[in-house]
Amino acid sequence: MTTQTGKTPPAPGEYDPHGDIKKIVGILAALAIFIIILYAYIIPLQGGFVSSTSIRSEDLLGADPRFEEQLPIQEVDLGASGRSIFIAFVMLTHILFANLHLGGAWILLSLIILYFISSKERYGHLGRSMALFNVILFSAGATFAAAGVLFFISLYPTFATQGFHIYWWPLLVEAILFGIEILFVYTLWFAWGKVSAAWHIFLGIGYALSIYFQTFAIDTFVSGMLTPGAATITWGEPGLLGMPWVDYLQWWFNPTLWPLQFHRVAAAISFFGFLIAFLAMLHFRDRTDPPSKKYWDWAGSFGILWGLAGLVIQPLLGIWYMYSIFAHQNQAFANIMTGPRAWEMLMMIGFLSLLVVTASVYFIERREHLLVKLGRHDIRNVFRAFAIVAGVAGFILVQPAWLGGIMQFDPGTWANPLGLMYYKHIAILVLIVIGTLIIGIDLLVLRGRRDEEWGNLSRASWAAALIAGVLGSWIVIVMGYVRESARSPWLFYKIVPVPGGQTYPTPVPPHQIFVVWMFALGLAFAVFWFTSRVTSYHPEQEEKV
Amino acid sequence: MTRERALTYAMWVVIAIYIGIAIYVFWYFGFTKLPSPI
Repeated sequence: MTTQTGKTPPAPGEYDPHGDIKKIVGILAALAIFIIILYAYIIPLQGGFVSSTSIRSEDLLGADPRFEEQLPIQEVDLGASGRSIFIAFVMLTHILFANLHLGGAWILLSLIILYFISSKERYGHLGRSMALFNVILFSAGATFAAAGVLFFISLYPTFATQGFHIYWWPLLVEAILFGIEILFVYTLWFAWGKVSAAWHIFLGIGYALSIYFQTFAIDTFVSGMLTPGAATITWGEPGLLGMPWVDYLQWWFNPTLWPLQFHRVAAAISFFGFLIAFLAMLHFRDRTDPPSKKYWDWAGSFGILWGLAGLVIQPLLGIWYMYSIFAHQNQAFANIMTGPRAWEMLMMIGFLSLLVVTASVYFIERREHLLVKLGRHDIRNVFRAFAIVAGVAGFILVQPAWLGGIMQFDPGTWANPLGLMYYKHIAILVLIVIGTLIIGIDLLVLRGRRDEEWGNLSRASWAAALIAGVLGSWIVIVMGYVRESARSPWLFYKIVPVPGGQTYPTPVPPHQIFVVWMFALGLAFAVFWFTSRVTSYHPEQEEKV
Repeated sequence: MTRERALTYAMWVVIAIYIGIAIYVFWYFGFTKLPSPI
């Protein structure tokens, strides 16, 4: 028996160079079905289309008149949620660009260290390409940040006045760190290969720390909007400090600052890792010479491992973050866990589950040939079991806890017996264990043997890496939206409302935010790919990878 | 035992410790701190 191309098909259990495309179709079908069920069934039955402005209308009546908008509402001609859509688009797109630095800086540092320890050229080449990529895209991230500030001032003047005043000092630190950050990364790229190893490491550490503290500075503001440092805003005397120092510390170092900060770093590392994999797969397809194919195959695998590493850390930080919100802003916790925004958490955890499944499929398919050659059927079976168990865990995780009411404990709601949080905690733990063991097996058991295989990338593993790249970015902007909508209808929780009352409901409705996500992802990925085409190193024919 | 093998064992120990921390964190927050689902 032969195939259409005249080749003999592989016997069962043997290696198929195309890989098992059915697994990829299964992942895409699961994603499509999940989103359809979420939007057509779960969101309507959990009150996801009902605005928080309406649900919390009584709370809004108690807002301090000092913080009601004094200026006329600035329309943007995009409907009642137009202003929120503007902010969502510009800030979520900004996150995608800013995360290049927040996550990329640590991965770049790892490449520098690996390069000098191992003397393998590929680490240096990828590191230098990444440095240039981030140098060029620094301006895109900064542009969206500046646009966000302008939009806040124009569309929410009272909030901007209060917020920028409270956070003047952290914002000044952030502004200065913009300069320090680009100084480090630009110097690192420019001096690459021209200075000593110690200087490379110094510049890499300086870059990573400057972006870490820059994010920390802005996170004082971002976290303070959800868990403000006081019940109201009380100003003091004119001077360097607009309110007593201890009050400032309450606002800046508010209860959700640290969990948000660490969660953001882990999410950014995961995002950047999966993005490397995505771009590597496009370069793999784009290049025809074997050395380039080997190089980009390796880069994809390197990216997936970093993506997975960042992914398995996030749930630990996430549950710490959720507990901080539960303890300090209980109503916001109810909004996103037992209320009308719970669908967003389902979407986020659904993507996380699918990412672990996709990464498992990537390793099943990518290491298939090597494992057959080595006779390690045990590891093949373990990888397969991981994908199946991760799929089952994901099925538990995407279960809605209830249906038929805006809040979980409203009278008449149907409680889903599969949607208990206890089951979900166990299911998340299972995903963490699977992700961690995949990293361990690939790095520690197969390390040293993988180099024989670069360039021998099956179509299925190629597609799995692409899917991981898209999901790894999408999950980041879903997380941003979760935090924004947890706060709705407030800008500073229970202090400064979103101006306009019931005429301008928030958060951005589910179908509109979906369009915003698509625009943000489409724009960012187009920029990433075209930039990567000019910043990436490709091995010459005569070079060995 | 070679240095490389020792490093590999050490990394497996790190992975095991990480999984242990994950179990502890989820037990601590998920089962004792966050509200019961019922």
